[in-house]
Amino acid sequence: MDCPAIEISQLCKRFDTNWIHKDLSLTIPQNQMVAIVGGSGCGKSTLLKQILMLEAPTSGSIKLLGCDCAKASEQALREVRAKTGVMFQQGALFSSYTVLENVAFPLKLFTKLSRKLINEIALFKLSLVGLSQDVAHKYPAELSGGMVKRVAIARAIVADPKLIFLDEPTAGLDPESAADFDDLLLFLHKSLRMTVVMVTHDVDTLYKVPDKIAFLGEGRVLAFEPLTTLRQNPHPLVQQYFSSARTIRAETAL
Amino acid sequence: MDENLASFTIDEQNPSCLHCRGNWVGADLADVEKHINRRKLPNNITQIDVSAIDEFDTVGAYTLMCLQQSFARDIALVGASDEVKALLALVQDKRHTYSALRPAQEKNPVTLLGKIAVTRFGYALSLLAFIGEIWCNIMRLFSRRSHMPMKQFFATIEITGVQALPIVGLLTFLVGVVLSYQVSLELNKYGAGIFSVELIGLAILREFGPLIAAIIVAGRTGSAYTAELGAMKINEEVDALRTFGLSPNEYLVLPKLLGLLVTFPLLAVWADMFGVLGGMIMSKGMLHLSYYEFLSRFAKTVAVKTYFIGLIKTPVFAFVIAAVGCYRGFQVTQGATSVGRQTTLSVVQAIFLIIIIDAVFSIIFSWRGM
Ligand SMILES: Nc1ncnc2c1ncn2[C@@H]1O[C@H](COP(=O)(O)OP(=O)(O)O)[C@@H](O)[C@H]1O
Ligand SMILES: [Mg+2]
Repeated sequence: MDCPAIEISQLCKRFDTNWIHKDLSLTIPQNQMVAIVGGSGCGKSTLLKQILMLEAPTSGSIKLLGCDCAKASEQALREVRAKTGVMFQQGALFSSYTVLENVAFPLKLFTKLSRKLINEIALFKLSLVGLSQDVAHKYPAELSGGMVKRVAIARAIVADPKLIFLDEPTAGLDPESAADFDDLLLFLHKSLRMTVVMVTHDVDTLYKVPDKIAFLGEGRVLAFEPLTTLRQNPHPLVQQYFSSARTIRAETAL
Repeated sequence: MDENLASFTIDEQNPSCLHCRGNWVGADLADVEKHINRRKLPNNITQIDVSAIDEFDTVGAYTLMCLQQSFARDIALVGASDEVKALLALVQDKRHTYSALRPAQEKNPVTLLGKIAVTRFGYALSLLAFIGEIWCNIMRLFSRRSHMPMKQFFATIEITGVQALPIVGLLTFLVGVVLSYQVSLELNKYGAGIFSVELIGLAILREFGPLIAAIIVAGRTGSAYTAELGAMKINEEVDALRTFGLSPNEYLVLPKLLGLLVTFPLLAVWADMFGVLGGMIMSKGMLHLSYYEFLSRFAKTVAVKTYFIGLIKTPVFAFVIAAVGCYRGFQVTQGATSVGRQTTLSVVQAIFLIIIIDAVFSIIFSWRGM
């Protein structure tokens, strides 16, 4: 399959009279790590929701792995969904399931493997994200914030998706856990060869992880390029975003 | 897709070699796994050829590892691409066996029974403690050492009182109609239809008005209290209140409890009115008793005492509904299921307690000859 992982063309979206996206186009090739950034309220989460088919676009088309979401059949959509994994900002773990059941959930849904093998694979994915076996039988409410994020990403990758979405993966983590998480993302990307799309505000992550950054503003993608060239981009919104003290501090620390 | 399904076969020329082919990815591996688990593979296999595998992922790697280890000796892998090798190494590095770690479950029935008894006893104690805390808070309120958020108090009055008027009125009206129909049907046989006025009056004012209202409010308001407090607890809103030095009990429970204590007796009066109205309208249809006749007989035969006996129970009902609802809300521990379970318990227990208390009241009244 050589089609792009995500192909968004001329996407428009409005809530009542409020246009969030006006003619937004973005093509993300397979096997890349892409970050979506932009000021607060510029529509990053809304874009993610539309890509995930949780929110319908007002007009325009979104193709995931070559499949047009608006026109595809139920069967085709199911296949696409089996190939995508999502990690929500708050984790969105099922509170009535144990960690192991949470991670095994997509496998039970999308494969017909035996329960034993499913559980073993789920455990393997848990250790892949750096969790020990002891947490497997705990409930989400008994976990710390960092552990919830790890379980959430284990659940997102358990069925070996081609495409994985992360909403603010490192938000709310302490700097060391955040750095660990960045390493984990890089490791997973390298070893499992997935296309990774993340929304993030974490400047350290932006420096370390993504291949390219899509900068949202004015309802469209203002720039889609690696960080080094994005920093030179003359657009005032981009300059403003990167001129904050925090960014400069992160840069000097590098 | 079909010809690319994951599979393995024994080489025809070289019976010691196993060929794997197809897409060894998650969704397609169920048959392969069944085949491996059946353990019907010949014993003379010494190598597995994986060069014909198209797509490969960690589930495939895991299955391949299981295949490799289903033989009791070392099996060589031939034709593995770098990708296959890397994933296999990753899987072997981080694998876990599942059977090793299921937590031990208590099986001894005596121990289980004991555990259940202890938890139940704990519940009873904590409910008592909760009610005690409520009383302390009410006392503090009257001694003006604490204050209740008046906004929530009035909101409770609107939501539990004003908004409940239509449903309570309609349902008790219908109960009055049904009661009147059955009673006059029987009494008419003896030519004693006129006595249905007393019967309806007594039944509605003493029992049905307050009881029906209590059941509706338990289902409507008690459950809402539980769900609201439960969701607040999960959201850590309750903890946030504590950090401001507010007692959740005082800040959240008191307005709900006192609000319901105000509205519920009024709702019971409303229920009485509509119950009697229903009975009156039905009597006209069944017995051709005019409204004037009905009401004048009602005034003569149904003592005011009856009305107050019905109403005296209502603050107790209101207290039970609000206390159980709030208590159950605070019992929510984690997640959506817990909210559902506690809401169910809240309604069931509130109605259970209301009917028991109603029976106790009846016994006390009959004992005092009322
Ligand atoms: N369901 C909705 N209804 C109306 N407006 C919405 C809705 N969801 C988001 N918005 C608006 O869309 C804009 C973009 O929101 P969002 O995508 O969450 O921004 P962010 O980039 O911070 O994630 C905001 O102005 C928000 O108020
Ligand atoms: Mg957002």
